[in-house]
Amino acid sequence: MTEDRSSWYVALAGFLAVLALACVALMVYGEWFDRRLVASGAMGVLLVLYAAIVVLFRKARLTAEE
Amino acid sequence: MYRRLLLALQSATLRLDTWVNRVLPQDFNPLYYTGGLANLFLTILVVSGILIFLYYEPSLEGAYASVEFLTHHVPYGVVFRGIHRYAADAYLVAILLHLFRNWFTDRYREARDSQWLSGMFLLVVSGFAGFTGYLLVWDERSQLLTSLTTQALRSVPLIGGWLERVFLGGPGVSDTTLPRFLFLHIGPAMTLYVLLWWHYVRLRHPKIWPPAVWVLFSLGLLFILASALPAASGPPAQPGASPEGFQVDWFFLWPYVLARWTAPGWALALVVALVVYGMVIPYTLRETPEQRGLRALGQAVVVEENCTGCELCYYDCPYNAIYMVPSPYPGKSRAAANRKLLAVVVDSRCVECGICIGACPFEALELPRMLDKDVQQRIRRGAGAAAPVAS
Amino acid sequence: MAAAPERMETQPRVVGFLCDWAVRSEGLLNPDDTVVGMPHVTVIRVPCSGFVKPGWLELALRSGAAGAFVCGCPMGDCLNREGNWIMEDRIDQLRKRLSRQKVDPERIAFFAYGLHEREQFLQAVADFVDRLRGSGGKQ
Ligand code: HEM
Ligand code: SF4
Ligand code: SF4
Repeated sequence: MTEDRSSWYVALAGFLAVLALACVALMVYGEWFDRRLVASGAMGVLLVLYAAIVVLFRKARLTAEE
Repeated sequence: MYRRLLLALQSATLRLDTWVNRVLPQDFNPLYYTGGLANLFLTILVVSGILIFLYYEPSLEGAYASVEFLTHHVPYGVVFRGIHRYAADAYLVAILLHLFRNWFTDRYREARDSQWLSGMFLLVVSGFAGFTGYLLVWDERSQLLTSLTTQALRSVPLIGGWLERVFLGGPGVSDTTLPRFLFLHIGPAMTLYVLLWWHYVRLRHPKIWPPAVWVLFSLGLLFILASALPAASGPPAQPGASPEGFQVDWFFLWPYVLARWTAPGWALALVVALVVYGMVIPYTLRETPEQRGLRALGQAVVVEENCTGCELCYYDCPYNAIYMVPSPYPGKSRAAANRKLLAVVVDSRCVECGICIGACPFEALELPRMLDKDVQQRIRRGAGAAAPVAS
Repeated sequence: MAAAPERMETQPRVVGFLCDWAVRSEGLLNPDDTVVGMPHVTVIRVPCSGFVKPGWLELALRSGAAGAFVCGCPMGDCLNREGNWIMEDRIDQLRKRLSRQKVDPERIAFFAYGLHEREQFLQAVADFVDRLRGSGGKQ
């Protein structure tokens, strides 16, 4: 019943993946310029984004139940 | 009254589940994995704790400085400290969710009381470790907590003075105090693993990890918290000073708020009363299952002549209630004639679920009040074996 | 109700097992195990979905039912921790066995609905019956 929505979920996941890339950039920046709290915060956001992507993939039926 | 309240709470708990399930796939629902979440945070605590331990110096002069060094000079030291602190809070939240869920969904009494009791011990020991953690920093807050605790302990009749000495590692705060605190922090943390053995011993395949999504999310959340609200010490403790206010961590330090309002002894008494009450909860409702509106079908019974010793029931029983013993005599049925093992049900563990019956392919297990032959008859009737069905 | 007997003849018979802890069952069943309003569906309440022997589902098919199902609690919420997962596994295996015996595995179903999901449960059963009718029911 969520057929039409799954493409939307994938698009959202894609967007979050781009954000995650930005977080990687922030992590490098933080480490390089000694702004370590920025780096670790970006790491946290990255992990949360990954969690969200996993959920979205599941909701889009790209992954199955374990 | 109480019983109806519990039923209402059960209904509400399950209502919450359906809401979560509307947003998340069912097998991602964190409420189904509260024990696993607690274990996840405990693991994070142990790992981050070891890293902090490497820098910690348990002495009156050195403790504060060593924590400050970790916070300000060790790369990502402040992050690890923050993760340790916030993971402790998250751990407590997870345990409490776990406790209330098991309580409200009726998973705490009769054959399950061993898990509940060990759980209460886990709760107490965890709370204690959480509190002693705040002593180790040896800032003003630690000092105040120490003095409130000493007062509370001293007010215990008969053994008060002795308790105080055990707590402080000597008469009064001295050089041996912080090593004692360090032990009182790490010792309980290790005890948790002994208690967890007790907690799991009657559970087959305990789900000790939440789904991977929640590992990612929880770690991420801890990193975010540790970076956004860096953990910090208060002003260093001054010998002889008696600090007034302190920053409250509502998760672990609430008894101390109480201790400041009333007398420390009362706060201690309240905590003890709560814990004792928690431990008798499984025994507070002395009603038969019938009175609870359940059909008590009786504990599983092995039909000895049919058991072939195939162990299938043993693998499926979720409460480790089935033991396989060397067969004392051969079975009667053809399949059972040459058996090596015989299944035995441990009554005190059996929750009357019947899962073993579904597992047994040899009609060697029965729930006494829902016999196989009766079920078969109802099936035949429902399937219309008597009256022909138009197709 | 007046039209029921006639309709019943055209509806495929179904035997199901419902866990005591799953869907709220007050007023759900008649004394003879049939579902109120669905005389062709028999539901036997069991203490846990894991109690059900796969053999019972086969027996139901052999005795004339067009389909058989088991309904447990939502996955992860089994009161007995693992009953519904174990049952789901057993049903998977039973289906494989049935298709080897040239019996349509779609005649066996597994549902998972909680206390508050009675409507969804009844809907799922109705859909199951419809599917069975679509596939000709028997054999
Ligand atoms: C250190 C904290 C704790 C951890 C890591 C923990 C972990 C677990 C785990 C992994 C399970 C198995 C869940 C399953 O596989 O179904 C479990 C079950 C259980 N826990 Fe805990 N637990 C903790 C504290 C507590 C507390 C404080 C209580 C309540 C006083 C409690 C009560 C129970 C009960 C009653 C069960 C049995 C549930 C059942 O039979 O289905 N636990 N716990
Ligand atoms: S009924 Fe069977 S599976 Fe359930 S607890 Fe008892 S012995 Fe174990
Ligand atoms: S599953 Fe049945 S036959 Fe096999 S060991 Fe258990 S009781 Fe015996």
